[in-house]
Amino acid sequence: MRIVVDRDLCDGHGMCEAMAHEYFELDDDDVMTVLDESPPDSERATVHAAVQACPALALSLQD
Amino acid sequence: MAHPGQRSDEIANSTVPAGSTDHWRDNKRYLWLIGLVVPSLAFVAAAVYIVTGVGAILWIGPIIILGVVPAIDLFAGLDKSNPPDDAIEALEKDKYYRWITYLFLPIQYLGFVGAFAVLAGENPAGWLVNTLGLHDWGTGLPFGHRLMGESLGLNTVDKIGLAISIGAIGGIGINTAHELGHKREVNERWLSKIALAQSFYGHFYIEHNRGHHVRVATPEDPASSRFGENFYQFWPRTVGGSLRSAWNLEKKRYARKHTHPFHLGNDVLNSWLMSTVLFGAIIAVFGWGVAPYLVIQAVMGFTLLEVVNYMEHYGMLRQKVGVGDRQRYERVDPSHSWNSNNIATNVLLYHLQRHSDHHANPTRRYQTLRDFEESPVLPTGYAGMIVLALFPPIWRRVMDPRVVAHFKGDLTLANLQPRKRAKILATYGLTEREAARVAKVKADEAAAAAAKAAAEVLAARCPGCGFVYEVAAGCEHEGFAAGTSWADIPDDWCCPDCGVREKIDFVPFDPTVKEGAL
Repeated sequence: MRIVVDRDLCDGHGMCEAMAHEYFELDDDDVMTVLDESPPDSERATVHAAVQACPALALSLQD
Repeated sequence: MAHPGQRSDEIANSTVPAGSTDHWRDNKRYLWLIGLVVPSLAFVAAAVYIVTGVGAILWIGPIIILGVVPAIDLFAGLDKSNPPDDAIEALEKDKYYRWITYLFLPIQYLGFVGAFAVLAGENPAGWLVNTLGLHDWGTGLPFGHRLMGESLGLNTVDKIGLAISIGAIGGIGINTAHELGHKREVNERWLSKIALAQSFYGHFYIEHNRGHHVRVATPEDPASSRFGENFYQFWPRTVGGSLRSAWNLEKKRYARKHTHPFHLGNDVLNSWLMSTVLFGAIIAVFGWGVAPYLVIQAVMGFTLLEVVNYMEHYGMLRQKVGVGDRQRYERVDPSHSWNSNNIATNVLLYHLQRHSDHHANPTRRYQTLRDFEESPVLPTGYAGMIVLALFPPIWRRVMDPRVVAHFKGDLTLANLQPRKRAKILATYGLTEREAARVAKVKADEAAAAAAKAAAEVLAARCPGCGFVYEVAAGCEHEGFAAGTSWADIPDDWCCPDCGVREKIDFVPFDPTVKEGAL
């Protein structure tokens, strides 16, 4: 499982960080960093929730 | 933000009612087809008008939305059933459900074009009968003179009614656009913009996803209504605010690419272009005479959307968490949206009334949206609530006590109309509580500022020559009095000893800690 970010779409809303702060972090300028691009499968539910929460549809999961 | 003790894959403060998912099968599978009745109303109205000659039927849109559906909601009752977790994936993937939403569009636009033909004085029904070679049959019918007439002969009141009905269908089309616009599939997002073209509200697609969903239930959101704000005050705020928000979001997106926002890829511009082409084509074909009706139906369409926006988050407020610069709104949970399980409106609006789950899971498809026990619940379906919203005193009487109950009497936690804040709190005897709240906010801010000051740089060392600047001592020679903070030293200041390294290179350290202890 790999987290893919469409940088063109990411607006820095921080909804992903709110859902899964272990994997997403926003800095003071609202630029988002993926802390771990390949989370373990056991974390699928958490990461999936964060991906679903993205209002800009900038996040997706690849297997 | 981190919420200790809360698992991220669960929705905060959520409970699916016990037993609601037992022995599950989708009882609503075929009921969703009823949603297609809405765009078909244009044809129903035309048929009834031709047969009976009663012009009032052309007002079918408001009759159904403000009269028939609210009445059905009162009798048809509630549906609290939820799909169980293990059925959700299969349900999401079942393409049957999405085809129902796609089918809305051709019916919507066939009715739209047909209605404008009628408004222009044409008779599309007679034309159809002739085209099918049924002229003689048509003329022989008891209402043949209307069916086969040159024009359907609408007077101005009939025409306004028809435009309003078509606008109402376009407004509910915005709900279809809303369902489609949240999806990852590119074709669905395009269909969303097409559905919005009729009401000239394409920017909703941008503002709703990236504006409203982020700021929902906060004072900054133009599309979340405030306690004490009536619909007529909300309307200009949300219509103007949504437009500004959509434009700014796209402008910001292009600014990140270091370019101006005037590109065809700008979703605000390309969706408006779609509306311009559509309206231009209607005027080109049917003449300038239909232009006022284009405006009437568009305003009706987006007003219907906005009145629904008005009730979805009335008075709800996400609290702030964290302090100082890191302060943010708590994450969205089911308690921030009003819900309704009235089945009639839910079937017509693709579960839009299961709004809490929608805000927690924006890309979830309508057929899988769940009911949560702790969501605030509207007294009836959205359709009935629209009627109440149009009469502010009744709205206040019905809704305000429910908001108060939701916050267990503490309205200082609600999203209040700022202009009326003091008055509302005084009315509910909360002035003292508000004062305590304000005092606490101030104390927290002061504590945060103190913590920040404590973390300030008290000394810094030049990495080149070892020269030390100490805040307490200052540097008279350089013109910095004792106590001049590190932040106040100019960025272009250079190490006075070696003259090589600049302020940015200096390494901060705590002068109260001995070197050896580090």
